[in-house]
Amino acid sequence: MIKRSFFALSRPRLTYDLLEPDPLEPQTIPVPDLITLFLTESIDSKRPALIKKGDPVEKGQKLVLYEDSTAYAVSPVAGTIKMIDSYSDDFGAIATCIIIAHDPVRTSQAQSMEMSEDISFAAAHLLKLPGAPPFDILADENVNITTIVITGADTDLLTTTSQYVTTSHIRDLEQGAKILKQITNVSRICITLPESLNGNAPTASLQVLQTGTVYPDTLPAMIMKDHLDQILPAGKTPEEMGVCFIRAEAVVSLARAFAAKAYIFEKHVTLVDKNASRHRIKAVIGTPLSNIFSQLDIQVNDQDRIIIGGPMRGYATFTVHHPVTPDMDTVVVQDQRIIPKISDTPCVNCGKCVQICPADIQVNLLVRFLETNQYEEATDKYDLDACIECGLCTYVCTSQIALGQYIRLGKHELRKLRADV
Amino acid sequence: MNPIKKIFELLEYDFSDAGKFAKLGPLFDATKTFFFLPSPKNKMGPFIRDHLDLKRYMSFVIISLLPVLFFGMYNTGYQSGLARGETLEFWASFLSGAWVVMPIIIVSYGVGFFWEILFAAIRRHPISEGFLVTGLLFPLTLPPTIPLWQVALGISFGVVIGKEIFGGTGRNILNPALTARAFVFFSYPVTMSGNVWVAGADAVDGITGATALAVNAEGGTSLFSTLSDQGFSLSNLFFGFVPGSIGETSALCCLIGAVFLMVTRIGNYRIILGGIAGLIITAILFYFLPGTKGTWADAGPLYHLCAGGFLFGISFMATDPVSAPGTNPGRWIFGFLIGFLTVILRVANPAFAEGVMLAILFMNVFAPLLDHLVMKHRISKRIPNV
Amino acid sequence: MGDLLSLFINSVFIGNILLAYFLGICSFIAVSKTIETATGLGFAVVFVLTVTSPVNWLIYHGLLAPGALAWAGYPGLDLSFLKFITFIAVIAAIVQAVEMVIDRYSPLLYASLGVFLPLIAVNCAILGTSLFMVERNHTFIESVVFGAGSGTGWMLAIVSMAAIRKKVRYADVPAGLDGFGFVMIIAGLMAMTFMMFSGITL
Repeated sequence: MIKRSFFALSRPRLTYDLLEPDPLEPQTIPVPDLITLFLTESIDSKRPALIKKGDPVEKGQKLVLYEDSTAYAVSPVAGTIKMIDSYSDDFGAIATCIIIAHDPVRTSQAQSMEMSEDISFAAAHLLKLPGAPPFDILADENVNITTIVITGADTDLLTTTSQYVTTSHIRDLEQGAKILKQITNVSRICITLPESLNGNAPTASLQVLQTGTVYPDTLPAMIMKDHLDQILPAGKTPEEMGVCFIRAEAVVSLARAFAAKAYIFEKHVTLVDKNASRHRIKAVIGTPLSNIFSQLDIQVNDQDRIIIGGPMRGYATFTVHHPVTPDMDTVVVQDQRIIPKISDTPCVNCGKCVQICPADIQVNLLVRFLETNQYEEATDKYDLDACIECGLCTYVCTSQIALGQYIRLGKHELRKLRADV
Repeated sequence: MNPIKKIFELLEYDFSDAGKFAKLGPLFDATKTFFFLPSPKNKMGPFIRDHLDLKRYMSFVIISLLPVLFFGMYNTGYQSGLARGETLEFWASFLSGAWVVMPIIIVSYGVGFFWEILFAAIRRHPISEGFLVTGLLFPLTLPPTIPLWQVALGISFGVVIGKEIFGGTGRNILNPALTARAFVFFSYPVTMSGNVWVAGADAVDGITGATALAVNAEGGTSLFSTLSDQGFSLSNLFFGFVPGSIGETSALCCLIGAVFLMVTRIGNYRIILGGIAGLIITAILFYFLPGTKGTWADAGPLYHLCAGGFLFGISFMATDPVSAPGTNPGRWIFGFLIGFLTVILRVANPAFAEGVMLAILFMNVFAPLLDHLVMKHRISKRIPNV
Repeated sequence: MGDLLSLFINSVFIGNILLAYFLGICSFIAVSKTIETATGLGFAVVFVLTVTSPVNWLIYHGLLAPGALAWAGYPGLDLSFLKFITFIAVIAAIVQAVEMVIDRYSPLLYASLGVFLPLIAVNCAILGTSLFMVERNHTFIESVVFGAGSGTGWMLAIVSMAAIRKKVRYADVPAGLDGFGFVMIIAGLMAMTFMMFSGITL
């Protein structure tokens, strides 16, 4: 997918894809018959559920499983609940999916909604706007956010969603930033933009952070280091350091929701097909990917892989029925022939990973501890915590070890270990 | 359909876990991946990979060894010609040399692969590409007069004890090729050191000669004149027209390989440069030491660099990433101490004329300790994550 | 001075008590699991060797050696057959004394060394060093240097072994060989690399 010359003369430079000067209009996918929504809460059959199979739902209705649940979904259509079921998330965490049968007649009646510029309102209602604004973190009283960074530059390869949304909705973006300021009372709001888009920057109230074109320049930790003069300490999240990252699309949908006094459901997605050509689409949240594929005439065969998120930081899904979610910027379809092989070759200590690691971790030594499940030693002595999960070590690994996967698993196991103590 | 692919698909069942040749499964896989890309997929991201995989990595090392190999073949023929008292043409030298060298390489690869396949079959791990390098490096460190059964014995020890009992390439602590050589060296010192061109294999016979490092000037004459009297002038040593082990004689060819490895970033430049620096500094120190006239202590850095197998060892053996340290400061120290120890052994140890092999092995033992110390230093400087 | 330096280097590298004479193997294999404990035991051995070697020298040359009791009127008496039992008793006594001193003045070090301190009393490297010292006719000063050098060589070997064992946790050893058998093979390979010094005379 990303080619490089035969001779590995120097370390690879992976560059971000920049928005073409004359971007395509997004293709709108019609609202499908069935909508799938995800809830990050597991089903507990002992408790009385607020929603059940067969219930009618309105467009914009907030769906909550139990009386005291904090997790919620917002139905993008009117219709009836067809199924509520469990599915297993990353590392086996149990979550819930809700399938809604769409009723086109009732959907057309738009339901208006009272908007309020208040952080608890935003956290309680606006989390599921396209772009997934992190209002839950902003509303958390234990977290003191001093800077908000809008990501106008995409954080993964091959995708241009953020850049497109930023340049094509400048007015909305500026308006959204104002509302965001009102809601959160954070005075410093910045936006990251690739150099080439600088002319289109919304300069009025936003400080522009010009990002480089080489991966991983636009990852949160790198932005903090290069532009905010804050080095992210090992094991900390940007939010703990007072910096909150929010997608440009989230800010745009915020402005549009306030302007329309109604919920917004259309998500922009960059879809990269097997020939590596890009499609820009606009689909209602909850639309299964299979609908999009059939709409665009993309054949997905048995062994092909669907990657949600980008090629470096995304995750693969097992099914074409995976729906569009509020935080899905990119879908990559990878042909089975170019999927890299899995390997059980041990590390040969070649050191490519150390050369390329932006966090300066001794990955070659670290992986020996991760492969033998010694997570505590890996953290104490080999900087497991400092990893920013860019995936470059895995990209260059000579033995083709799934380093990124080991690191993520290591961090996950360690969190579990610490939670137990 | 591709006919080769068809054959593989027909055979696939027999070699699977349920089939009758289940034990030979890894051999089947290795042969199949030689023709086609393997089919299993990785499930978790990143979903793209660089083109440099282990197979290509190892083939780069093989490429870097080609100049040394071809020159070694030529020089073997040339030297055996000289030993018989005739000066051979280029092609004649090359062919008669190849006639001696090829059996050694074939035995090394053949016996080595036998052990590789045996272990791979019993222990169910894939056959590693790492052996392609080991199997070629080992013969290049041997004198061409070595009996073939010693080659077989040495490579067996190197592969089994040096690597396979650790679980294969990537898990061993010592360089397998050097382990093999050290085993042969200590077990059969007569065929390995000192007089390398004694009567042995058919094509290589003639007079007895010594390698450059065994030369010591007698009676107050300078070492340099004694050396050039015996045909070891600096230019001969640099280009490699001297007797010695197959691969080690030509400093020039070793340097070509070293530069290739450094440019392609297969070999770590820190080890190579650190080693050369260690050798030069130590050689200069000994040069200024009084009372050493006529011995190798008096030789100075250039002779130390070009004579013997130092450049071969530091370029191809010390840079073996598995047995070298994994941290950059560790690599500098590792290389430097190899250079240092090499000169120390050449000067101080009358038992072995050449010390680079043992110096590298010795530092292999200390590589994990160097890594540990470097990491401890790094952590002491790290901001605490509280 | 130069002689003492070469004696020190000789006993650290060339005649490494562990990898050239294979003395002290039991604790070398048992205590090399982590680098920290290996270093602790290494320092303890260096200290005990540096003390016991000269003390044993004094006892041997003052009491046991042939003719040593001439000052007491027994010039023909040869008590050197008692040297094994005397040396062992001296070593045990000194280890006990060292243990008590460390316990009194540095409880922290005592706690970290813990069980390894008494173990030193039965470490054959200690007795071996004293016997070598007698056999090689070292002078008093030489016996101090020889003891310190042997201890340093032993420590070097056990610390590097501990580092290697940390590295080979990643290894995939055949089931029958796992454990001490594998460590013995590593020790053998280490001894092979230490053979590079054999033949050097200082």
